[in-house]
Amino acid sequence: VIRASTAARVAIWPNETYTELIHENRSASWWRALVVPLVTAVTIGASTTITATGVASLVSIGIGALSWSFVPVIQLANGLLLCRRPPRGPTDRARAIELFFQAHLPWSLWMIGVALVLLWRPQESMAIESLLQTTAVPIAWTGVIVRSFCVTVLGCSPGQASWRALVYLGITLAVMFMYLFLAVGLWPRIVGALS
Amino acid sequence: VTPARLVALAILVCALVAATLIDERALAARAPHQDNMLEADLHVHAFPGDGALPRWELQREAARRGLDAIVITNHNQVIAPRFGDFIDTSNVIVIPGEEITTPAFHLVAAGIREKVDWRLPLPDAVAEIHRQGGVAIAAHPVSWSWQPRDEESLRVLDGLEVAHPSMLFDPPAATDVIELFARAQAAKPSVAAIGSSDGHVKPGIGYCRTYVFVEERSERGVLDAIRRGHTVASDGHGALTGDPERVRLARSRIAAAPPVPTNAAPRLYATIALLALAALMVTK
Repeated sequence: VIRASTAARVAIWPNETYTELIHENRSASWWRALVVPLVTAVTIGASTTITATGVASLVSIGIGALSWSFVPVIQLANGLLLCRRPPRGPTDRARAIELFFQAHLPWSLWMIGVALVLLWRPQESMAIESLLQTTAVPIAWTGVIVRSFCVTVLGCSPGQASWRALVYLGITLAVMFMYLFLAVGLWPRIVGALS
Repeated sequence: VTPARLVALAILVCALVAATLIDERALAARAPHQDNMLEADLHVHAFPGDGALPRWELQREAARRGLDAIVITNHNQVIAPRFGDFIDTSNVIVIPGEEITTPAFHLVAAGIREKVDWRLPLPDAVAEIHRQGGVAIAAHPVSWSWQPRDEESLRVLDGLEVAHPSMLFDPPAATDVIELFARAQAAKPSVAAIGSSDGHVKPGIGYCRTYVFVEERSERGVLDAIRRGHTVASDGHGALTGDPERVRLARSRIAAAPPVPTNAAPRLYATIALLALAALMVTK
């Protein structure tokens, strides 16, 4: 009746699941590869909209998904970079991206969890910053999955896989930091703090 | 596909459809205030930036909260109010603006079209806002975000945020701001009392708000009323600041307003939708 999804198995047993997936005799298609990024855009749209409004209207979620769709696009670019010149030799790029996006669960569940917490917190409690500290969990968890993806799908050695995973996480964090840097006007605040 | 996944999908669709029907009905039933007392949130953050919602959804959310006007004020940029401004999703007036974030002060510039450089000193920044036809409002003027306290600096302002969510949790800061407002009024009697949510994600927009007494229902009408100081600031907890006669009018509006809905049904549907989405992700 209930079976774990591929993303759930990848999140819990990344090595075993990725090994199983690359041995599946399945043709690659970009359409299938882009389904998870689309679901990710909807998840971001739903969680941001519900957090800010408390409403799960299809119109509102659609607006949110459309607005935040640049996030999976950046992840797609980062994923393509990660899959560049794999040691195992030329792998079908669409299939590699499809498997790479199976690592979405830690962030997706984190966004849904934060939305649920904020939905039921009293309006007066403002400490969203404390919830932001919990991003350490999806960051570390995704790092572990991506490293496993590099070993099993791309054929990297454990050392190479660690480097690729670190570069991937570094790019993700750098993009997040740059967005925040510009969005909150961080530079004037730093100047103010220093002076 | 297992039965568990089909059930999760069915629950998700039902929750989304129910939430949409309730929301659209509520939005359609919501009538804007017909008299000359508009309710405005003059300090709101939007996407793209550090706000969660884009302009389109902010307009709808403002309508849900019974607001007639909002000012989109992202830090040191004016892109967000222009993002998708060719579509109006409700009859709420959206005024473009900026929160000029500098090392010494945070200043809301309402009604401007071009970015004001954060490196300008306060008098020059205010002069630039006025040149563009906007108004300058001291944003959450507590010690960490507002250093200019001399009479000259207070005199150039059009308004001062005397009600802001952060002040609710910091009574000494609130007292300090009320004293600063009294000094600003002594320097310039027409300085407007402003209540703003500074909404990013939570608390939502309209939590603190400003009652604006306009001569015309438009961006110009709102900005003119602020220039003349025809406003009352509300902290959302019953405290109103402004001219006593206007405070009386605002209090009558609040007393006559129907009770605020509990939002229990929309929140329940939102919870079910989120849990069903999570179930879809973890089941096959």
